[in-house]
Amino acid sequence: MLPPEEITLNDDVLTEILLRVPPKSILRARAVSKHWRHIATRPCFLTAYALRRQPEIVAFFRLDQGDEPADDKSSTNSKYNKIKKAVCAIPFDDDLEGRPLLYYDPTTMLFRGFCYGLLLFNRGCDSLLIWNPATRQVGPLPSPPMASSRASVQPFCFYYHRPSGRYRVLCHVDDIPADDTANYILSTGAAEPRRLGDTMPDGVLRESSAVTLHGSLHWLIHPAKSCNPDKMVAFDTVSEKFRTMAPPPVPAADSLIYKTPHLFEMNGALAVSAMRDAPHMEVWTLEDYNQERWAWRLRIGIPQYRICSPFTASAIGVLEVNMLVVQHDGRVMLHDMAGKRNHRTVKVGTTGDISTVWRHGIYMESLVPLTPSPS
Amino acid sequence: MATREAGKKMIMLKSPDGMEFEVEEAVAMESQTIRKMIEDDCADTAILIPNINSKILSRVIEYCNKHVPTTGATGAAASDTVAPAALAEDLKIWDAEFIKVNRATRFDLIQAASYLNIKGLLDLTSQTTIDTISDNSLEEIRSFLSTKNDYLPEEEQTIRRENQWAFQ
Repeated sequence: MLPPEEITLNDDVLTEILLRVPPKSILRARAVSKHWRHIATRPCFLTAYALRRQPEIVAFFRLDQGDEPADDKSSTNSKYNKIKKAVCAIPFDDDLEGRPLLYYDPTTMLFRGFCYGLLLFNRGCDSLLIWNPATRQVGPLPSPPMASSRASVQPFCFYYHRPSGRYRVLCHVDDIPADDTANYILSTGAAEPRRLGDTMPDGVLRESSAVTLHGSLHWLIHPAKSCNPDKMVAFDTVSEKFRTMAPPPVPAADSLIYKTPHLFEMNGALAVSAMRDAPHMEVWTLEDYNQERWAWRLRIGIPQYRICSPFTASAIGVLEVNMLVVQHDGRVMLHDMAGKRNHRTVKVGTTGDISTVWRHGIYMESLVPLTPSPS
Repeated sequence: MATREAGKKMIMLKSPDGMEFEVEEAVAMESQTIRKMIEDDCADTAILIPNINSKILSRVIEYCNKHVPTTGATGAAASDTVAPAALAEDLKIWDAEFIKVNRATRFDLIQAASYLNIKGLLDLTSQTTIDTISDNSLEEIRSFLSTKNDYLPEEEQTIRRENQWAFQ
């Protein structure tokens, strides 16, 4: 038998081990040797690593003073003791204890959305940046040209563009003083923004996060803000054309504030949740994507936690096939679709910050670099 | 036990060094790789398991024998006599004993578990090494896992600087 010091890990074993260690340890392991670095940066490794992560619920909320741990090093602005905001990931386990991904100062940063394991922020009005909490890597995006200082950039969707392997943002620039409004594609690794030829149909729900599926981005149209309220909007990320689609047959709401429908992904299909006959929430899914055929799926009761609890619950995703994740009143509720019962509820943050909770969703920790390596 | 004896189907596993192991199909199917072969009807006579010598293969079979669920026709009877919690505790103790092997054997077992796709065995055998990588300094990782540092000092510094927070 070989003496112990001669026993080394072969590539298969090393890969199996590295797939199981946390992201921080991967960053360190890359410094062990050139070979380890090679193993732990290969695209196939990064893909396998991402697939192994447990999906988590990402929650975005306001923190009251004193909630933030004093020794937190990831804070973007730890000197100030103002109200901060936090992005938290809640692992789907027994205690549903959230783990903070990032604390930030809402006066300088604005959380705009996320795509798998990456978060998108506005820094000031005119620039966007991407943050990967797992690697703490920050990637800038090219800034769209803005003639006046009062112009603003509004991201409409943050998505992964599979053909190029880049993360992209479809955004809208409103430059009213210069009388220019246009849509741009901002891509990681690209020096310049790209102006889109096609124009977006009006009334797209900015408040609602878009859903990326089958190579297209999808949005609902705000019923009151469009001449085309009975449609849904899709954007093909390859041909870069907008088109309209049949929306779900959600009955007209008497009150838009309480009953705005919400688009999400449910086990590989587009789905929409909407409040109906409060306190009930109903879900429709797009059964046939090409035929644009929707089907009613389920109805669940939304518990009321406070006397003045608003009925604005919306579904944000699905965990482990059957667990529907619903956000409502500053809480995240898991509904067991197979057992047809509300399974668990967890309170996130310290205030029911209703205006921001739509940014909840399903998060997948990722080591993928913000710009692919040249190889 | 009589019904189990009558109902069970046997599978022959062969290691590259010529040893043959006759095991219950249910035991062999703890391996997702073998399960797939059986389900695809590729396992008529004997299954050759490449790259896994008889010493390691016999240990893998030992693990699968212990971990095969005792359900089926006699499942109810089995759980009547022993509480599930006690069974789980017993398995944990058994696992702890099972993994008391030298490093070479452990790495061989990881590789075998990976090839045969036996999740429980892979988790069990890789945990020590996962802990080593997660909890130690670079120097310790290199020394514990016999890995030579082939970086120039300045190259290593650059990599450390790229992700300084991970080294704090």
